[in-house]
Amino acid sequence: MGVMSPDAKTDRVCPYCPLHCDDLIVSAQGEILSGGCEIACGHSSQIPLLQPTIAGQAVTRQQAEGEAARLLGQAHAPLISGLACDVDGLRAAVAVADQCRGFFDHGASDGFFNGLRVLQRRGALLTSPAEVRNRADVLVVFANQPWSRLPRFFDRYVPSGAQLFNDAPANRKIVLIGGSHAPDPLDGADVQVIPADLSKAAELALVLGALVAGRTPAVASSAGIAIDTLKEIAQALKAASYGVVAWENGDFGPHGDLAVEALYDLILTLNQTTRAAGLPLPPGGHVSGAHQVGLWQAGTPLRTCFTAEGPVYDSQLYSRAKLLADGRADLVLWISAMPGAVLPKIDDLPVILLSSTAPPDGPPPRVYIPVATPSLDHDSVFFRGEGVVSLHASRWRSPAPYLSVAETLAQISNQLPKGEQHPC
Amino acid sequence: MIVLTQKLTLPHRIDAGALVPAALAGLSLAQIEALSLKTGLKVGDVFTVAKSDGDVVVFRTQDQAVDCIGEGMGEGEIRVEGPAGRYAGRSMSGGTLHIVGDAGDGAGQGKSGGLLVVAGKAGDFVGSALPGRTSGVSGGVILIKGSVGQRFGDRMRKGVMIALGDAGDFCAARAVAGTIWVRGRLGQAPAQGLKRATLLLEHAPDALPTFQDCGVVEMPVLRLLLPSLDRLAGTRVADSSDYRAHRHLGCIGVDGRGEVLVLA
Amino acid sequence: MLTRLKGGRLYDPAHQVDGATGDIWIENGRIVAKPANGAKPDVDHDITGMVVMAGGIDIHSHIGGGKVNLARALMLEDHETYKHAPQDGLRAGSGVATPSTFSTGYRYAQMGYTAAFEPAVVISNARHAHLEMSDIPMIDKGGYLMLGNDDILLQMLASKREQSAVNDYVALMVQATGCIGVKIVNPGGISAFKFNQRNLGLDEDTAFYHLNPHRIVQSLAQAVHDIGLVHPLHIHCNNLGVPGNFQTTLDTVRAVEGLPIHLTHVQFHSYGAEGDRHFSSAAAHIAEMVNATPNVNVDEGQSMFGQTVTASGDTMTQFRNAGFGDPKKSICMDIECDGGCGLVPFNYKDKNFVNALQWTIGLELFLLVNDPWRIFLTTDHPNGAPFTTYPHLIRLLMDKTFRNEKLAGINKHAAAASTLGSIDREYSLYEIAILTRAGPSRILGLKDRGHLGEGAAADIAVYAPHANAETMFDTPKLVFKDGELVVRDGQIVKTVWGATHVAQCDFGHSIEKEVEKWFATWKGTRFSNFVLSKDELEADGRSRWVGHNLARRS
Ligand code: SF4
Ligand SMILES: [Zn+2]
Repeated sequence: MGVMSPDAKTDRVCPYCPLHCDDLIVSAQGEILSGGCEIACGHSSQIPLLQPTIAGQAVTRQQAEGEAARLLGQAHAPLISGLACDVDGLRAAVAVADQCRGFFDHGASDGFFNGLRVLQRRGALLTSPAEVRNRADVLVVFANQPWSRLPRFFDRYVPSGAQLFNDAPANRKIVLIGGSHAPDPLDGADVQVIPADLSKAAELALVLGALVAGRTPAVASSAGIAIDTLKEIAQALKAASYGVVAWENGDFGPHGDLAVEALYDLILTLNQTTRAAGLPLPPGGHVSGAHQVGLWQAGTPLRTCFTAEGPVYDSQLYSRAKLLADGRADLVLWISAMPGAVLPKIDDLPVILLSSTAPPDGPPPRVYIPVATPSLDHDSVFFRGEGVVSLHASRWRSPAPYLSVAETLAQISNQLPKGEQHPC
Repeated sequence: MIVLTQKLTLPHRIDAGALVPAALAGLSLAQIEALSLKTGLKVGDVFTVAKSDGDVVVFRTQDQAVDCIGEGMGEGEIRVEGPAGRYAGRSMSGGTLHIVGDAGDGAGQGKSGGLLVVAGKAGDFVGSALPGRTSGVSGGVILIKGSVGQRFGDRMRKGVMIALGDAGDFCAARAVAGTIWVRGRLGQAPAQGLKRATLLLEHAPDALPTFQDCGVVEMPVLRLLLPSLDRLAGTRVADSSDYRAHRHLGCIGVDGRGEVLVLA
Repeated sequence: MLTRLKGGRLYDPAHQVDGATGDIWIENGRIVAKPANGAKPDVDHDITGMVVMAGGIDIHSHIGGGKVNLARALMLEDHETYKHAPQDGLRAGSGVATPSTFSTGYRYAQMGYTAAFEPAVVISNARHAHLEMSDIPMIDKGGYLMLGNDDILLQMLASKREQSAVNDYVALMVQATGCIGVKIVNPGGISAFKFNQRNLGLDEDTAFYHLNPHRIVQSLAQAVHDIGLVHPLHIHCNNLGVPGNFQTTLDTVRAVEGLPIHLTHVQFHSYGAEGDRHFSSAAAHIAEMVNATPNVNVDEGQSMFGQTVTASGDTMTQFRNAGFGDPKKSICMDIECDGGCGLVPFNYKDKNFVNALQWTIGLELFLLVNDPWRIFLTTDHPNGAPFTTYPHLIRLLMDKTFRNEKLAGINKHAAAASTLGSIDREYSLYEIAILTRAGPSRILGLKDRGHLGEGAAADIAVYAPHANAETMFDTPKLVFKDGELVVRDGQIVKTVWGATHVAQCDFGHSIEKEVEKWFATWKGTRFSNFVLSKDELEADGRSRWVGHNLARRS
């Protein structure tokens, strides 16, 4: 923490986690003076010294862009992924995927798809942060330990103090299922922490649903929680004026969609008599932004292939992981201008990496182009993790000597040949 | 008969969805070779094509790189001599798709009719719902002679699905109606969110926490069901059955009235 | 560059031109007088005998924002069935009921439309709505801000703050969200649903705030009038879709006591509860009211048969209707102490009594409202049908024989219950031009759009006359956007980017401080990062922010 100076900038938006707190105060040099949590303050405010490379050898930015365009132009089935960047970067990334007939998926979307699959086949009944903040009198969270990646979650969603619509905020009940301990800011609130095996979350939610509906399962416990405890939780949700059921999509394993679906059924059952709504915890790496931008530009969500007939979506086949495992992609363009989508180890394909940090250890990517960090280095727009509110982030410091993702992709795109390509 | 023999090295996976009997019938060899695949390649680029009498379509495959064989087929017969890639028989509404080897993930997804037989084993999400659809298989028969992966019969709505080997985790999840028969052992958490379908087993599953245990009961319906399943699967289970089963009703989490029956 | 459109038949109701033959001259994106110096055109289009109108303006179409994106995610089949690849500089896209942004712009232009307005901008989602609209090529855009279920306003009303404070608040929010109008959806009902109230009539009070919907509508209509917005309060009445709701609609008109208002998708609010099935047409009552009440404008919200999705801010109604979903799925969301949204896929079937009657009710309204300047052609895209059905709808209005053929094909009981077959009226080309161009531009205050006079923006559609009006309006011969030829024979020949129309309002400084504090305290976010600016919108180098200065009336 530095000393507050007269040229300090207020209301800065933090790019480091999907809460995108927007009350930070930073110095003219971009050093956080107030509002930053341990994650935010753990990031250096120094502009890193980075060098574009081709096969590990230093080159000029123009050379690197040219090589990236050449590779993309040759590729039959490029995978455009990572996608941890601001909205303008994402708009440019969809355009490149479209232009190159490539695949489009975020680098950390597995958890997100547990929720999206259910939304697409069944629907959803959701709430958003300000409603939780002012309305929730019971909050039940199914998550292992999300607080370390969302340090100011409680400060933002359930701050101590008054609620607009709950006369007795002190009586607000918070139940953390699966979490091994409560985060510090919650000390003093009515918090119940119940260890549970969240790989059995689907069963757990079905049991809760049965209890809310007045049917009692013939088991003594579920997912490690005694049935009497579950009865209490069901009762609390049923008695709540506005119960909120929150969950961490990524904590339910590869078939976590079944758990999300069971939670949706629980929420529907609750709404037969009172109000309740769901709240997936915000996913990292600006997945929510990548989802929104891809969806409005292509009409289809992430995991789309831009085929010769138009966008084709397949949530199973066109996931980043499956595309790489199946050998369907022949080039990877990975974008990582902010935290949340680390380049995985890819041995057998050429990789073009656009990153605001140095490439990970190991063999260098075929092309590496350093890019500016959104918010810090240039004005940008982020979707907060819940996907509803998008914020304008004014830059923190004088511009870094790197182009933004949008600018870099525009440079590459201008050099692409306009030929027929055939992925999938 | 039209024989499509997969060439040794494919540049990438290919989608053979267009090559169903109705689409190939009446085409000359040259016309078939010139057909475009969804992936932009021509049939002749990836298959050696031979043609003789009859409309049966035969795929001779090398590996699981050929996806969507028999997708959307409504009539006729396809035989796959070798492994099939993903989504074999997806959205098929009629006819017969016989895979002599193994089948990949998503075989029979969104199928509404016809017969799909896999002689080997099959992957995950066999007979499940197409992305974003409210329900899965809505008709016809799927017979897997080997074992099958996870989510077998996911949200099935109608028809019969049989696995003679084991079935993986989350079998019959959210099944709305229809019959799913697994002769081998099940993975974890079967029949979650079951609505009205029947899951017929020969080995008791580990646990059914959201089902009501009705004990072992006389099940007259088995007198009809078992012989008909035997006929479909070429088995002789009815012979040794006394038509009693351990019956479980649920899933109570979704007010379901489905049943899990374990043959006694 | 000087362009001439030579010898067309002009339909320009703003100047009472009804099919007269004439030339149009275009220079620098504007319609200009014939050059006095006898200058020759650089480009000459001989369109002798063709029909010329200003570009179409869609006054109510859900084209962008969080709810539209949710609808896209929900409507997978729509995007599997309808898709197009990138070609000739155009971007790929998909969907008809919920088209991608590029598809939306292309398709509007291909029908000769050059502007469309998103009618349901949720406060906290305003930036998202603009981001999407910025990615819609070919047409001008604008949004109406949804107020009347936002807790700030409801608090102000419940604590009986003076009207001037309400006015300031409305002006501030319209400015901060870059909108050009204000809409109210199910007045008080979206908020009440969050308190577990499941129905709300005009004579009931809302849960928690104990506010009567009358009072909310009245105050907001007053504010919209006082701050000088040209477009009157855009009202989605309570009780959408409920049999007998025409009474609510009439009561709403009474509640505003002569203030100008716009009743939206009035088809959904013109239902009686007569007959064996307790569902009947009250179109005649509503049309009679409109004919007798000059302060009221309506848009239609015509339903058409086929698959679509209903996308609305009205969570209360959508939650209630979720069971009618086809396919059976739905999304509802409570949003940020501002409002909500609800999506329910819907398949209107011509053999279904209710669906068929809805279709006839919409057409009856069109034909029974006398003044074409006060009714606008919409399907409430995608709620009644995708906007791509407009050419078909135009034919239904212009061609009685065709209309009666279609009437003969719908549910027998619905056809028998309807007066549609006995109505002889056929719309003329002149009236269609009012419905789709001149009327919308006038009611939105777009002085330089929707007409062919000198100084107007050269947004122009040229149609080859055809006995089948659907064919004619489906594929214009030529379309110009701001003077550039963008469509020829129904094909996009050039991608352009339209403007965003925004009202420029005045408001007191004190309200800004108050709202800043409210945001920080209750929303936990900063007003400064929420406010949308011209600089931000134009930063992508292709959006253009066109401000319309308002004269405050009070
Ligand atoms: S909680 Fe997240 S957004 Fe807020 S300061 Fe910490 S890292 Fe930044
Ligand atoms: Zn609408």
